Amino acid sequence: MDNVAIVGVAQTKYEEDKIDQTYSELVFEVVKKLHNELGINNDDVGCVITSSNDFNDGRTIANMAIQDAVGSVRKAESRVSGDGAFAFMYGVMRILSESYDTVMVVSHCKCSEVNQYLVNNTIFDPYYQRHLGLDQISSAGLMANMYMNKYNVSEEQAAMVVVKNRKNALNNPFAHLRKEISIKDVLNSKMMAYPLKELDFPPFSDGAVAMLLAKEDIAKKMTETPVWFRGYGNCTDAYYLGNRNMTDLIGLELATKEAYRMAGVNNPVDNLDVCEVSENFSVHELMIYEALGLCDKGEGGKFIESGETEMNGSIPINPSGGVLSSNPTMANGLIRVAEIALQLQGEADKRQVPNAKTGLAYGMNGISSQGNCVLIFGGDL
Amino acid sequence: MPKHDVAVVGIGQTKFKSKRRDVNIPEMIYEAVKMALDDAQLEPKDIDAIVIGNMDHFEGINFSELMCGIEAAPGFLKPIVKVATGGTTGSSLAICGYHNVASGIYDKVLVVGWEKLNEGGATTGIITAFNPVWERPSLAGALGPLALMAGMYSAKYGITAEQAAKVTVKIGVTLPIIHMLTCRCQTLQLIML
Repeated sequence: MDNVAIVGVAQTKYEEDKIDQTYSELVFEVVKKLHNELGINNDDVGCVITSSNDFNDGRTIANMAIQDAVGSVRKAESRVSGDGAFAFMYGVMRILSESYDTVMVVSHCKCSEVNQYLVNNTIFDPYYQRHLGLDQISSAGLMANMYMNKYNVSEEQAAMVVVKNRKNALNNPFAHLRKEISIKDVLNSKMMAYPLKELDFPPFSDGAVAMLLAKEDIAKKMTETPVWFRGYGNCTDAYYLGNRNMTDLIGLELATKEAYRMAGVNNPVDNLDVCEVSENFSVHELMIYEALGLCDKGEGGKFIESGETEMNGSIPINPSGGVLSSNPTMANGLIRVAEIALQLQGEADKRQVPNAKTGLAYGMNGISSQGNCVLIFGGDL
Repeated sequence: MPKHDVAVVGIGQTKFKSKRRDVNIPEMIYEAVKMALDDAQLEPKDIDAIVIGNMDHFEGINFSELMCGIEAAPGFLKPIVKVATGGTTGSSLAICGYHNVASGIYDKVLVVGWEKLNEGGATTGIITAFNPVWERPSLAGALGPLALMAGMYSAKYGITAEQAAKVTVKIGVTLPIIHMLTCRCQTLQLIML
């Protein structure tokens, strides 16, 4: 297989309400920043893949509203409806198929403009489930309760995830919530859906992210630190919550196996230096540790206690602060990819994991890991 | 030239009509999926990945690829990606399916495009494509901009209404189209209330 690399990334700061910018202006900010950083113009971009969600944008064909901002007028463009990690992979495919030399991938979300309960309730089928009022918070409560009960995971262990990610966010200038909190703060916050409290959940954020992908010879000309695409796995879990095994992320497990096989990862804790994962709530990250094979099934709680996923641990997870610190929902997967790219380029500033050579990014669609996209990157060829 | 040649090996289409009261959305999609799989002499287990799409606002289902891709397409424990680009969704899906195979990532990809407009509102959906401040208050959906375009084109090149009507007559669907216009007008009234 040919080699595809990320040659540059750009992010906005993630904030609660970017009232002074439309989402098209958010996108323009990152596209312009990317052009300036790489010293390129719109003619150097072969085609554009965007990722967005019409419900979150309150607009059908939401990609049409940003075509001037991404420079896709009279240029090939397509839109993946959903998380940015899936759009990233479509961009990689367009280079691997030898149709394009460079692809710009852009994702945006402005959560402040819509009622997130309604957006998430409409994921459920209109015939049987939607009227029950289910959304991502109530589903997460069901999932967390079943998982914690089965594997004897405590609320304190779950709270440690929030404390870790919020502490990491202090080092990330783009992060939305940059304030250290304690386990006690999490445990004492308002109950949302037992056993999950307000601080077990992320905020909703506004922001955008863009990156340029290129085939090998062009990537080497454009940057001294190309970040090579190494592995990919995609797997979808059941739609109805009742059809899912709610205590284990089966879809993510299978997607991970596929990505590890493609990238030649045998022992993830040894082979990977850093991971950026889309954790939708505190307990979710513990379940992700298990699905990624970083620890045994049911051991997620003990794994966070061991400190291995902290910045100075053997496998730091979410040095950026993760979704629990910044949550422009549709952009989360592409932000994970961008953060891994910065890590492997050695440009992650205060959140840099020393000597990071191999990294994993995980993006998801739907309710807590229904659609799963696992991507692996290596800094050296 | 692509690295891997790509071919269409099976096709399935439902009958197109204004109301399918006998099936729900996944059932309708499964009709076409089954036909395509049978045509290609493949089983669901032979499919490596699914590319599926529609426009979310038309039926009011967010992440429709989860409900439809998993329940009907058959995407349980398979890769699914959703592509949605408005009126070009069908061809955008085909292009995405092509890149999935031409890239060498997958061998056999099922591409599914669908709409069940009777269970939603096409005009209600389309009007949200327009700028919420400058254009949306007209509530004109696709008809308003299309009428502007047709008016300008006809005026510039001297196209008559009879010439335009001949297109419809050639396609031979005069009655259903009149019927569809009526439906759209009803939807318009609903929004204004």
